[in-house]
Amino acid sequence: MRIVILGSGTVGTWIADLLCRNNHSVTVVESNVETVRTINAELDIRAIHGSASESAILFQAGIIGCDLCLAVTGDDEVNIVAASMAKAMGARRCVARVYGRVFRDLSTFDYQRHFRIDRFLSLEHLSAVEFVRAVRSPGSAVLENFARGELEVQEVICDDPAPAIGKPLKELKLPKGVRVGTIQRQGKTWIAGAGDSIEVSDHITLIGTREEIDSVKSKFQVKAAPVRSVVIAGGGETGLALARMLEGQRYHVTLMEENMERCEFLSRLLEFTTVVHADATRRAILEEERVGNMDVFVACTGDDENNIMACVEAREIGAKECMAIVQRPDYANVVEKLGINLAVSPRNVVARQVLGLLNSGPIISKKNLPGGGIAIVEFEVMPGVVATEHVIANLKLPPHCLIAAIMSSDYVRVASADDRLTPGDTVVVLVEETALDAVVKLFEE
Amino acid sequence: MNYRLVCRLLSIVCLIIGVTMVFSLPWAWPAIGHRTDENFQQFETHGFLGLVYSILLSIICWAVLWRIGRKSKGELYRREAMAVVGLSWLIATMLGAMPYVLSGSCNKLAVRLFNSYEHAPQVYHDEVSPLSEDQYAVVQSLVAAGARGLSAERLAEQYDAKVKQLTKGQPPTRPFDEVFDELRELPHWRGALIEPNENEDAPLDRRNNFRIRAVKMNIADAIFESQSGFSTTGATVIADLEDPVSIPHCILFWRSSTHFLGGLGIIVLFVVILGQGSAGKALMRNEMPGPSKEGSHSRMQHTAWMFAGLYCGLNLVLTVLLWMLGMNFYDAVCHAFGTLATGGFSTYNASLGHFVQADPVSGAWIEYVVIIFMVLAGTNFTLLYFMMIGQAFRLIDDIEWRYYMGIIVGVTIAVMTFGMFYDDFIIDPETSLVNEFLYALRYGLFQVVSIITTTGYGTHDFDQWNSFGRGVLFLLMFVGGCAGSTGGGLKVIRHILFHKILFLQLEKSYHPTVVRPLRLGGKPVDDPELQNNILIYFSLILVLFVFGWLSVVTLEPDSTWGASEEHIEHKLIDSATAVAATLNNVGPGLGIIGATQNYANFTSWTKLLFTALMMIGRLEIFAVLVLFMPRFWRSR
Repeated sequence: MRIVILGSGTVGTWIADLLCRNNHSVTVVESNVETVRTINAELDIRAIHGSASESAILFQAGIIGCDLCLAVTGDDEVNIVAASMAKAMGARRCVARVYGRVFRDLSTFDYQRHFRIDRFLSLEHLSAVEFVRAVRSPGSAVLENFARGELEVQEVICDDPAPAIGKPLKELKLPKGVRVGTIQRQGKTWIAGAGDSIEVSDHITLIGTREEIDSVKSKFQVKAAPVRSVVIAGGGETGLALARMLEGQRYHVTLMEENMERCEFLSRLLEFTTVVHADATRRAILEEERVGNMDVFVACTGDDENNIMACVEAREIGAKECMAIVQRPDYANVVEKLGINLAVSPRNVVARQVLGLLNSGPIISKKNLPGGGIAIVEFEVMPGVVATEHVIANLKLPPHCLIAAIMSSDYVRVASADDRLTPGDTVVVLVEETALDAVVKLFEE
Repeated sequence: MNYRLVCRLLSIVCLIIGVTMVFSLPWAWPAIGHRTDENFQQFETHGFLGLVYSILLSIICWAVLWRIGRKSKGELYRREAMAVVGLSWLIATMLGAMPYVLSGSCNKLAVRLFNSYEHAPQVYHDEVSPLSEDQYAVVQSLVAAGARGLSAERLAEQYDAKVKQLTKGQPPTRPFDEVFDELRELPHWRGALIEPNENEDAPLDRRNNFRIRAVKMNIADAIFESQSGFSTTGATVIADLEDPVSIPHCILFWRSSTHFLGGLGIIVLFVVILGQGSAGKALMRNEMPGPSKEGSHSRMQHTAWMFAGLYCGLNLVLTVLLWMLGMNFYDAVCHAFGTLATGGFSTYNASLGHFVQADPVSGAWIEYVVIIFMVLAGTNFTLLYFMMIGQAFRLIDDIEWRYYMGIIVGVTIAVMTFGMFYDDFIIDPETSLVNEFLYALRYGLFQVVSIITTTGYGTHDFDQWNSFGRGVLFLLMFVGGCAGSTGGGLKVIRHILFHKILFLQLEKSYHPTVVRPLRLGGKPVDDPELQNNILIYFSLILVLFVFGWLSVVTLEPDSTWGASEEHIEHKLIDSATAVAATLNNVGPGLGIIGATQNYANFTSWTKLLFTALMMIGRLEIFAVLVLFMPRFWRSR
């Protein structure tokens, strides 16, 4: 496939290299002459010198008809403008990397839809999601933030006196905003249908907004999960995103940050998190903050060595689980030996995202759920396709398929049977790998 | 300090005061201003002239200040703004005091009795030797009759009854006129007692009566009354409001109009009229109560317009409602002014309780209506504005308003529970439980709202309540209304923030590295100075309260309470409530300044001290205190 990457910092170069090794043809636009020369010399990539937001340069890079355009310069605004231009000039899919939280906040303005960008990519946010997944449901990997973070997928293990046990799903009368996605029983996972009933110790996934999920959880799970305490070392964007996702009812979050100004900034944003002005790499401070009694310790400062050392210290003091961001691939082997339970590499996370975007046809992205043949697929609804002809209940969907969420210009919500798709919407579908082709047909012109 | 500019702005304040006085003039004509009092239907010459002289005085002040300030140059900076606000209130108080003095209004009787004849009475503030039983009976009858006095027959009747009461049934040994003549022979008493026909010029209704002379208000009384009006305190030194000779209707109307001006704020009115751009903003900042000064409009004149418009509108609505509920127009206007300014000046001795005594049904309705309007007057006017334009949710979402309502409801329930337990609301022995509950609800709610909004109207003598009820009302004085309302006190928002700061500091003590911002309703409070300001304000109020209390206890002689043991032990508590009631602009306190009492018996120095406290409380300390800093006035 033809791919244009705007900006070649560490991330840009690394993605370019990755895609190049996967036999795609990659063009890089970079404003630094030196870097352009190096790339042209060392990699099998065409590098162009110029500004990413200049139409002539984009044209020269072959933006027209390219399959994917990644805007990954160091500047949010440039990325957004460039990606938007690329889309308008004819790139099939375009992605912009953003640091700023404001661009991801849908409450007042939907930047992504306004600029017609297919995906906002934030390394920090994606890394945070990795951690949240590991903290929330250890042992199972089913947690996703999809529909731009508006909806969540959470796993619930059903226990005995719960009111939902033994009843078919259609009799449960779940509120409109929540759906049961998959059911996992004795190692087998399938997509839930209206006739399925729930048994004790089933692992089910619920899809909906966080509040809605929390409100129906009690139907499936009677024993409240204990409150867990999480310490996050480093209040960068990753730490902030992680704290934001975790803080609230079930987690007691402590965030440690060295810089006083940053502390004040964080403490304003995080209402339920205890922000502490402390250097997490010092053992005395870890002891004073009672890291030894905490359930999870996450090190996400900007420095690999500090992260690893802090984790080792925390583990030694008695923290039950330790996680860290480790950027350099060289350390990957050591990490496990040091007793760090999870090392997240932002590059790997991004790589997975980018590769998931390399699809043809109406599929925007595709991810597989672990432990079964189920995929989460994002479709673009184009004008005149079969899927727009009827309300969802009357679409001839294959049996193992569930339209989970609809994102339109006005709302993001869990799909219900009487919703009708309109062109321009994006839908999230849970589908078994075997039935994927049948679903794709519904969305193809 | 740019004195010329300050003078020019102050000249406008003089003009505003003068113009407002003009509105009090019409009430001097019997056709417009008089209540149904058959005995007194003539033009109020003294009151009218007093007002006219005061208006002239205001105009002279205006002319002088304008002349000094006419060539003023330059901008109004923070310093000048503070000076203008502080001085304008001083000038307003002085000019506002003039009608009381120049009209020769009387505020109390020359004789003060205590509750037993063995106790030395006071004549013109001097203690004289105790009276005999029959002398006491005569004087007591006359004191009860007020400045009007009693005719010979009525006095004979009452004298008879009083003597029988004092001697447990024995008839008097000599006639009352003999006793009266004997009293007039005593030193001190001669000037205090008036025989029938002694004064040919006295009004008809009292010329033929035995009377006790009424004392004219001195300058301290007048300043106290004026400041009490402007600061919307509602504490009064006038013992008898219902005698049109002692205090004419037009002067009473002026007394209520000072509430109107004070509730709105003299400077707010000024900004409404003149705008003044950024200067107006600086001026308003110093006068509007409460820590948060953000308006709903970007231009300060619009904010002032909104505030003034709402305020006048609510006054109008309440006037009409009260009028429809059976008050006459004069009373309706005065009580509307007293309610919405959260002042508390009434035109009757029994305050709002008068209307219940007159007509229990419409009186009760008047109470409920006034409760609602007091609550509104204690609410942030910006929120009322949002409610007016159909965004009522902003009122309900407002954290301060929620606490405000929560306190009212919670304290009312507590007061009712304790009051019913101690039988405070049983009016006669046959009161059923349901009636007792209804009385408790009505009186308890009214009194709680009246005190928390710092209005100070009374319908029930809360001084007779149980200790919990009285104590909790005393504490409520320090709560006050919401920021941006006309209420005084510390303001609810400051209490909320104070508690939050306290908890933050507690956490800091065992976990010094934690960083936690001050949050209000989940949102961080942006002003980094706010924490300090709140703490400083609390401590300043505490300091002012403690030292004010100490000064009152020291300045005021024990004889104000009477020298008997049972009264003197109240001195400390009464003084404390008096200081709290004036500092927080409430009005009534406990004991000798309780719901049915007044401030008339304090000495002039104490009255001036209370005047200072009222002004400090209304302008939230700083604008007043800086006036006493030499550095504030220096230009370099």
